[in-house]
Amino acid sequence: MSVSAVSFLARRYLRAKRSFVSVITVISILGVAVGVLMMIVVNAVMKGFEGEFRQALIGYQPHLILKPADGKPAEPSIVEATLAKLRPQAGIQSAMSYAGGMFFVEHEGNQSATVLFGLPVDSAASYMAKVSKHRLDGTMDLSDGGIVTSDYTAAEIDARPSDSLAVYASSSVTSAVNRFRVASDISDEKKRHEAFKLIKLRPTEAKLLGYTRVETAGYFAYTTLATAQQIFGLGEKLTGIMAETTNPNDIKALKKRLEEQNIIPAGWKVVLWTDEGDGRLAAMSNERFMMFFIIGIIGLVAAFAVMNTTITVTTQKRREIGVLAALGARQGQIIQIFVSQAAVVGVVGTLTGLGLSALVLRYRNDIRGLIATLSGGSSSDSDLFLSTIPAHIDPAFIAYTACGSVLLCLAAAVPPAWLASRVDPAVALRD
Amino acid sequence: MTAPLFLAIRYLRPTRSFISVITVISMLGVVLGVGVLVTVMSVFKGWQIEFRKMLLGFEPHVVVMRLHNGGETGPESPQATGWRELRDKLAKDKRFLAATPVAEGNVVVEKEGSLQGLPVLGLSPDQDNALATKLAKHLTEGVFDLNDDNIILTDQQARDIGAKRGDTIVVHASASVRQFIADVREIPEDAADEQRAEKLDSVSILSKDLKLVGILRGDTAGTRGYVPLNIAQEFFDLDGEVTGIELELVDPDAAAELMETAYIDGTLPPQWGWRTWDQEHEDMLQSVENQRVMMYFLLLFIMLVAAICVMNTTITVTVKKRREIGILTALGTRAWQIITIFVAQAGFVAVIGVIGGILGGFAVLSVRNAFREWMASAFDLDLFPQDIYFLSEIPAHTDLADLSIICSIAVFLCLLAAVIPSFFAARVDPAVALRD
Repeated sequence: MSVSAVSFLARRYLRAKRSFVSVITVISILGVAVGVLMMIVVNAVMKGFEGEFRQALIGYQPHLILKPADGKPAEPSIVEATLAKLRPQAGIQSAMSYAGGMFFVEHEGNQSATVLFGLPVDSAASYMAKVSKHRLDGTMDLSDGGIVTSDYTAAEIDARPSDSLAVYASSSVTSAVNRFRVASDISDEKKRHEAFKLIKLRPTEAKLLGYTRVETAGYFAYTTLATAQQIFGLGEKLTGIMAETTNPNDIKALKKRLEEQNIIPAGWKVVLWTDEGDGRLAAMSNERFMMFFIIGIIGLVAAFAVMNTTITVTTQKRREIGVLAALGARQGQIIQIFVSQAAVVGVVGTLTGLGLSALVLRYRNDIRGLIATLSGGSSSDSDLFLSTIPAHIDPAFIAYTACGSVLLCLAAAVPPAWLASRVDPAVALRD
Repeated sequence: MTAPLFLAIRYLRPTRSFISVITVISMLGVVLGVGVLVTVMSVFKGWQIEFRKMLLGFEPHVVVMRLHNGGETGPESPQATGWRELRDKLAKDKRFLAATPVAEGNVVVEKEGSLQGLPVLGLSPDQDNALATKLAKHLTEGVFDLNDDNIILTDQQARDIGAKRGDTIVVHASASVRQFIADVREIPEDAADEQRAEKLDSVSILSKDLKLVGILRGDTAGTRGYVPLNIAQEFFDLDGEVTGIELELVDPDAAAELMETAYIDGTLPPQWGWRTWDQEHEDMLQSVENQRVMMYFLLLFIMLVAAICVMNTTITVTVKKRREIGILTALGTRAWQIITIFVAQAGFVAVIGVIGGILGGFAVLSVRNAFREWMASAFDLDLFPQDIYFLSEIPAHTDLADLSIICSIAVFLCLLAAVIPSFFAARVDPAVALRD
C-alpha cells in the first residue's frame, strides 16, 4: 500500500457519507481552534501591555548611566577614558558625559524641584531627538543658559517658554539650610552674623526653552553641560556618563559584559533604565508564563476531543482495518491513516484559530466597546482600563503555538490508532 | 428507578465496547476544566482578600475631613463644628470603634545632599489610639512611641534617606523651607555682607531633630511615616487644627454605606466630608478585581472545550444506539424521555468531572507553596515574587459562591452540549432506524 493510499483513506474517512464522523471531526476542529485562538490573543495582549510598560519606562529614562557610587563629581580624565572604551562596544548606540542632579527652580515666587541633565552640546541634538517626541511647547534645541522642563514643572512655577527662571542646585539649598540652622542657634550676634555671611544660594539665571509632556517624558529637565556645571558648581568636573543602546531590552547582558571587560571604573555604579520597573517587569513575564501554562490546558482538553474522535473512527472502521490488515497493510500504515486524519483536524483547527485570532486582535477595541455596551452602564468603567487594548504580535510565538497544537493533536491520535492497528484481522472480520 | 435513568447508567458501562473510554476522556476534560478554575480562582480570591487585609492593616478605615468652601483660604463658617467636639461625638457613636485626630502632609528631609519630601501622618500619642495599635503590629524593630520628639518610618523610607533606628533625623517643615528660599532670594544679590546678615536675622526655618524610634515593614505598612500630632500640627501650620479625624470601623467593608448614613442622620456635620480606605486605594482594588474577572472569562474557555468533548461523546453514543432508540420509539417512548437518557448520561459525566475537578483543585491548592518552591529551585523562576505581591506565600481562599458558580457552569455546559445531539437522535423515525 503506497503513501497515496494512506492519504486517500484518511481523506475518505473524513468525509464519510451519511455518517456522524464528519460532525465530530468538525467539533474537534472547533476545540482546537478555540485553544489556538485563546493562546494567541491572550499572549499578544499581555505582551502588548508589557511592551507598553517598557515603552513608558524607556520613553524618558536614559538607557544606561555610569557614575561614581558615592555621588561625588567625576574627574573629566576618567570620564574621557571610559567613554573611549565604552563607545566601540557592541550594543552601545551613543555615549556622552553629563552633569546633573536634583535642582530647584523658581519663577515669580513659585518653586519646584526635579532632576536636571546637562548634556554636551555636540551630542545633545541626537539625545534631544528622543525627548522631542514628547514636546508640548517651545523648542527642544538646547543652548547655554536655556533649560527644558516637563509641563508639570512649568505649571508648578507658572512659567512659559522664554520666561527667565532662577535655578540652583539642590545641594546648595541643603547646605544653606544646614548652615542657617547652625548659625541661627548662635546667641552672640556678631558671630551669628559672621556665620550668616556664608549663606548664599547663588542662583543661575536660565531661560525656559520649552516643556515636555510629563506622562510620557517624565519629570526630567535638560540643559547644556556648561550650564549644568555652572548650576551645580562643578567647574570642569562631570557627574557621569549616560549611554543609549541599540537593544534596550538586552541591557542586563550588556551590563554584565561591561563589568567583565572592566570598562566600569572602580567605585562607579551602573544605573539601568529597567531598575525602576524591574520587579513589575519580572512579574509581568511571570504572569505571561502562568497564563501560557493555564491556556495550554485548553489545548490539552482540545486534544482530548481529538482523541475521542480518533477512538470513534477507529472503532467504526474496525472491519475495514481488519480487511486492510488481511490484505497485508503494515501496522505503521494503518496508524498513519488515523494519525494523518488527526493531522487534518489539527491543521484546519490551527488555521481557523489563527484566522479568528487575527480577527479578534484586529477588532479588539470594538469588541471591548461592544462588551462594555452589552454589560450595560459599565462603560464608565472603561476609563479604568487603558483607553485602547495594546497587542504585540510575536511571529515566533505564533509559529510555536501552531506547531505545538498540531503536534498535540497528532500525539492524541497515536494511542488509539496504535491500539486499532493491533487488531487481529480474523477477529475483526468475524465480528 | 425510572427507565431513562436506568438506560443512561446502562449505556455508560457497555460490554466489549469503546464508549466507556471516550466517556472517561470527556470526564477528564471536565476534571481539568473545573480543577483549573477552582485552583486559579481560589488563589485570586485569596490574593484579593489578603490585599484588602493588608490595606486595612495600616490604612485608616475612614478619614473625616473638614470641607473647604472656596479653597484653603476661604473663611470658616462661624458655627463650624470644632474637631474636638466632633471627635468626642464620633467616639461615643457605637458604629465607630475609635476616633483619633490626624494631621497629614509632607515634611522635608535630607537625602544624599539634597532635600526630599517625605509623606507623614501626625498621630496623637494617646494609649487608646486604634491606628497606632494597628500599625505597631508592623514594626520590624523599635517601638511605636510618639510621646516624645520621635519619628517612625517604613524600612523603605529609612533605607532611602540612609537612617537607622536610634538615629536623629533633621526634619524641616516644607513650607518653611520654601519660605526660606524665597526670603534668601529677596535679599539683593549685591547687598553687603553685613546687610545680608541683618536680613537673615528675621528669617527662620522650622525644623526639628526627631529620633527614629521604630521601623515599619513597608510591604505591609504602606508608604507613610508617622510623627507626633503636635509636631505635625506645627509643621503643617495648622494652628491647633487637624487635617482630619481618623475612624476605625466595626465593618470596614461597608465603610462607604456607613458614612453615607452617618451623613444623612446628622452624626457628621455638613461642613465635614470623608474619605474611606477603599476610595484611597480604589485604583489598585479595581485592578485586582478586573484581573479576577478576566481570569474567570479566560478559564471558562477550558470548560467550553470540555463541553465540546462531551458533545462528541454524546454524538457517538446516540449514533451507536440508533437501533435501540428506534425500538424505544416504536414501543411508545416519547422524544423527551429519549433526550433524558442521553442528557442524564452527560449529567453523570459532568457530576463526576466536577467532583474530580474539585478534589484535584484542592489537591493542587494544598501543595501550592511546595510547588512554588520547587519551581523556584528547579527553574529559577519565582512564580509569586514577594516584592510585587507583598506576600511570602501563595494565598488561597475558596469562596463557596465561586465554587457553586463554577460547578453550575460546568454542569450546565455539559448538559447543553448533550441536549443538541440527543434532540436530533430522538427525532429518528423508528421505521428507518430499525430498517438500517
